[in-house]
Amino acid sequence: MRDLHLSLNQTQRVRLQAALDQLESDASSTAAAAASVTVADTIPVNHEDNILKGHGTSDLDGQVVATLCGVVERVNKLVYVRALRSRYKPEVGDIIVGRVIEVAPKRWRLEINFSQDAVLMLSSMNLPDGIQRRRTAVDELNMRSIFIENDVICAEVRGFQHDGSLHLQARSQKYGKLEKGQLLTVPPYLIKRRKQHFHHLEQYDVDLILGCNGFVWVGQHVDTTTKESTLLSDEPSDKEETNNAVPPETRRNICRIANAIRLLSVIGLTLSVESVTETVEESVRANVEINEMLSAEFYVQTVEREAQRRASLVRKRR
Amino acid sequence: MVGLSEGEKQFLRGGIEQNLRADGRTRNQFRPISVETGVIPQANGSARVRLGATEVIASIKAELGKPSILHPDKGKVSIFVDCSPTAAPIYEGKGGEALSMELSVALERCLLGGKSGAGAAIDLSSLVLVEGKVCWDLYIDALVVSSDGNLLDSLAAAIKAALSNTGLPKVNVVLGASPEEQPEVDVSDEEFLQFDTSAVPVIVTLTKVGKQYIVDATSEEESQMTSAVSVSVNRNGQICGLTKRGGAGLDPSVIYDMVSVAKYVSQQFISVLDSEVAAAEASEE
Repeated sequence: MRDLHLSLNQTQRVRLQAALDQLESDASSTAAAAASVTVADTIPVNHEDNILKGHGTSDLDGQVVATLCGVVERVNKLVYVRALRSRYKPEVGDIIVGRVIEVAPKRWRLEINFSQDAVLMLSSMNLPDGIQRRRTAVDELNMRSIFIENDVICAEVRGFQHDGSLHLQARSQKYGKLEKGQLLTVPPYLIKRRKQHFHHLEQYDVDLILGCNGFVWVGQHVDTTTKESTLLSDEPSDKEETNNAVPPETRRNICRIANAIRLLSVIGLTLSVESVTETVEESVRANVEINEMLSAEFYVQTVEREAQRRASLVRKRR
Repeated sequence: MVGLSEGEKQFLRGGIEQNLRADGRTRNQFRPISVETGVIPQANGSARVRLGATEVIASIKAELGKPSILHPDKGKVSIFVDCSPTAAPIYEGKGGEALSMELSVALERCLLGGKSGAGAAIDLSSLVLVEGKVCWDLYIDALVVSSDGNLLDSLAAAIKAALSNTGLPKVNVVLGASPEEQPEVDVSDEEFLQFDTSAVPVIVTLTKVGKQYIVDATSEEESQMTSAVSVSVNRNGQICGLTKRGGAGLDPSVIYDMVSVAKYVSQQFISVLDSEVAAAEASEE
């Protein structure tokens, strides 16, 4: 994600520094701060137990020393350091959004912001006619009618291949090609695993898909129950363009939500449906124009709001 | 640059039609611009300009040289653009050469005027010290660090900012006894002459996507363009240069319309750029 270089004037700089200091002081008062380490810090360990040294640790003169900057995690006898910023670490069952880069025999290869490309087998994908049957050679020749290069697809991680690359499946109605929207790239560590990654924001008529790999899709709402019929119909492309044009009000909402996501990712706050909708509502309340959401003033206001929210949470806990 | 799916392309084109682009801008809005001056201390003048994710650095070095025989009363200016591989992997080695040449030629056409030096943004006669013998040679070098569309506009803005940051050292010239002798020059380290950049134009590129044209296209929007017209406008609203790229043909009335839109947009852009440059110079001190 590119950085926003904002020209802050003096008062904005002062306000931003004050808000960041408040966030830092709130963070340091929690227990997590006590467990954070940097490279070459000694990890406090009871030497009598047989401690298993996990990822991010190393043995130096009998001491357990961290080799990463992160937080120390302990699970029974295992001690490891979890890095705060890292590449996407896939797990089975993750919802991801990817882009097709190659149509290969019986599979599609997708780019998913990971060290290797993911593979979506033809057999892991529903056929357009919806019948459960064995894939024939004709199906293989017609793969291009389902997905073509550069298509944006939503899928789920089915497992890992022997070389570490991912195996995906898109067998449910809610997975598949994504259209009428925009794809954003954010750092993957800002998206935590939750129960729900598909969000239908009714008041805006917008679908928001937070892929665990850092690809976020914001687009017009597509009713998944009627999805199958659109795959079957063979409309020519220009007719589709005029029939299915995105209405202006929905487009404004899509742009507003996309800018909120861009802003939150630049600040470094965790992305979730609540934080995104709160930012959007705040921008509407403050009458901020859509393109002004990425300006210095709203940036500083958002950081201040987050500092206040965390301060009130800390106060409630006490 | 990653490709775009058919659905994303339609969304992009629809947005441009409805005057609401992907980041909420209208067709005539520039991305927020940020200027830093004096980034290269060894150069006589330098500036870094960021237009969204596009980042370019311009530097100006002045050296003493001999004016050409055809124009003994004018100094020399040469512009060279280099596309760094950090902007895109294809620019490594010779890959970026075609784009660099195209950008250099377009900038020279807009900023340097005709063969006789008439109409140049920089007054070449102000660069001459001793007619026929000693003049300043200005070497303007620009580097494209990161590319997200609209390189020409950001390069012209960087050159304008770098020129306003340029200080030419004061030179004491001692003429030789006979007219054929080379005069002695004493370059002062203390005193500097600032450039007057009020006549330097900016470039506004209008990218035609479908039936509409947009200002300051990102690289995704540029991938959907049919043609692009870059107009160089100065503060008085006069056109200093015109370049058209892209394969599609344009009706002459469309060109007229694009030029008038560029004139209108450039006035606001010039004022924003001037205020950013002034702020950058003030913070540098």
